[in-house]
Amino acid sequence: MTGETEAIIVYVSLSLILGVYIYNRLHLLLELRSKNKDETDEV
Amino acid sequence: MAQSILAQVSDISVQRGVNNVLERASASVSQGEIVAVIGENGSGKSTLIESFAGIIPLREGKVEWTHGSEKIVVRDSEGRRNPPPPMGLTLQNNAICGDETVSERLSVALSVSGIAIENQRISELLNCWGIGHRSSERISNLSGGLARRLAILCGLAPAVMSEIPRLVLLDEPSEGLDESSTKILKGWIKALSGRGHGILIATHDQEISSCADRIITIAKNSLQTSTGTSNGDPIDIPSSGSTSRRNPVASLVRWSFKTEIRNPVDSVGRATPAIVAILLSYALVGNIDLESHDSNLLAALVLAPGFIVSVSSPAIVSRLEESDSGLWWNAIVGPMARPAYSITAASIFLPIPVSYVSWMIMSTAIDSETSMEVLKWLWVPSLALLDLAIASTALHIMVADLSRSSAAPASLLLVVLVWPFLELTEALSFIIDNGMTFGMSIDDPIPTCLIASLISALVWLTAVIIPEY
Amino acid sequence: MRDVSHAVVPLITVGIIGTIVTAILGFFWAPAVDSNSWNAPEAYRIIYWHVPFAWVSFLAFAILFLGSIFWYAKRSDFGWVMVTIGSEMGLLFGLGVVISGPIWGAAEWGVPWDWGDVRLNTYALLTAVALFLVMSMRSQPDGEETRDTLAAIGLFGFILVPITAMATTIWRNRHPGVIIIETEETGMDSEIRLVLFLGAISLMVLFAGLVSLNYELHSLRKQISDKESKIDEESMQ
Repeated sequence: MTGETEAIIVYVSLSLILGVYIYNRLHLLLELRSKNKDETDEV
Repeated sequence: MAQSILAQVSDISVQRGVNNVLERASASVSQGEIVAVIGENGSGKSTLIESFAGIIPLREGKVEWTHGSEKIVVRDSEGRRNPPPPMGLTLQNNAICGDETVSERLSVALSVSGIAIENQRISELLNCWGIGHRSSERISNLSGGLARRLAILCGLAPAVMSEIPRLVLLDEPSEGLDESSTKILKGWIKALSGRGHGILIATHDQEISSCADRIITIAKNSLQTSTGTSNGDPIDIPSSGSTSRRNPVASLVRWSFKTEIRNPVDSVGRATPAIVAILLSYALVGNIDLESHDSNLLAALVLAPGFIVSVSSPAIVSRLEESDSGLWWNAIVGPMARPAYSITAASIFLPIPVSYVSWMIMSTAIDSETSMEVLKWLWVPSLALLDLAIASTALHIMVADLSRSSAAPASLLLVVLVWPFLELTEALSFIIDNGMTFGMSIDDPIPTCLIASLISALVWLTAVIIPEY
Repeated sequence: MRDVSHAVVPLITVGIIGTIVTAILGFFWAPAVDSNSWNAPEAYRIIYWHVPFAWVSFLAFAILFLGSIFWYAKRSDFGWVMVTIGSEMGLLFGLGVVISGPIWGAAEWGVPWDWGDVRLNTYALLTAVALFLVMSMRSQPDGEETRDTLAAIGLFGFILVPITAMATTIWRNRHPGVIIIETEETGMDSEIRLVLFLGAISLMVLFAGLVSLNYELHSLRKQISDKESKIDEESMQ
């Protein structure tokens, strides 16, 4: 057993965790920027 | 003639949620004075009352009470905190636990103020408010109106029974009261004022605020004072009683035991998963010859139910959350409340018997000599489980400070208690393999148990000191 | 508040690219280790993310700790922002450590968890505290009292570190033998060191990008909240 599978599992799972988090946060950032712009126009 | 000040708040700033409720506010209450605090909903009336009681952390300023010739800083923005002198306190929620009886509740309110009176006088007080016939009933069986009368009486009685001028804090006392009770309330307030006690009332009821000598209006985070109309006449109230040495912590301990004996939800709540664990362990290891296995496994299975009992959430958390009961005790006991809760509410009686039951069930395949030796000394590691239980309770209570504590996963913080448990497993494993010894090397059972206790004690210390700073 | 919005996307992009390149180099370019002295020689490649994750999460926990102190000592809003960002980043990268560590341990030593490993235990403990804080921040109403309690729990987590280290050391004295992660600093190939260094830099850049991102989210939320309050006031007049 060389451990290659375990290494792949680690990289895939950490990539998923990072990827989901970054996507989620960037999406929220765009949403809030747009909302902030709308609120500024309203005020 | 200027009356001496009983308590004052100086330049206090308080934030509730994200709002600044009070900014650099100052107010005082003197002997014999009735002060009404009025303002719109959410303006900060309750906040002012709770600030006087020392319950709320301050951004700025300080709260001082006078006790005899001494000035006590009850709270300040630097983190200093001391319990206030004996006082009367009725919060907006009744702050009474449903498991208490009516007379017990009144006795507690008096005993924390250092008033010792006979049952006859308790009945006299209850009869004045038309709840004497319910004295031995549980509070949970009372209607809202009767419970409110009791809560008000508990706030007024420490002053009624005291010869020394006391401060009475009442938050929306007439809410939930009928008309006749409101008249009695007004009459008692006037009578207490006549005896030199100071009364601070947060109210939107004009009937009550009309009896005030001074009015504090809260608007836009600041206080404005005006003269009150001092309407109303005093009515006859019972005479004062005798004082005894006051020990709020002892009262809290007694209250905690009494409520648990009456409704042993804590004991049952902890014992049930422990018994399930014992039965499950027995069922799952049934065919394994434990004697030939590493004794660590057996030791862990034997102590696991005791561990479960120790780390389960204590019932006191929900008792204290019941109608702000915890706020009331917090005000009365002061900074010692947290350590007192953590020790009182910990499972002190269950871990040792549970560990013995667990051993007796799990050890059927073990030779009798080893079994006798373990039975003789199992209490040593089980005793150390009590320290673990106290640390766990302190952690639960720390989490309970959050306003939606049921939505917070307290168990995550309990992970640290795995280490004391592992140490105790080591100790028991040693006793199983080698019998009990009294050596003091790191592998011997007694130092191992002491290490487990030390870790638990450090966790406890951290969990009770940091939040109070 | 400082305007960090322009730095967010570039930092995150560079960080992601660097992290991916590290993984590729780690798998395909970094040298193999001696299969006689390693039980699972290919599993060692986990090191190129495991160690940088550990360093970055250490930074995150340090931010959490300092933020808790600032909030506690001065009720500083900036301190509170540090607590929120530190706990979120600590959870994210701490999870990476406690996932990769045991998987590597299981592959190399057949033991996923060693109660005698100080680092793994303290990272697990701090990650648990960070998870508690993140979940509580989402479930509890914001306010001074909530912040006081959560900052206290943040500090509590830190005082547990030496307690945990002591407990783990005592345990290890009794159970010497299995160590999950060998010290990476001894006898390393220059190529291994290079990829490790690239991984560390990339993750730090990504970390900086994520901190800026969260800081901007915090600023935006505050601006939106202020504007909404203004609109509320104007609509009542």
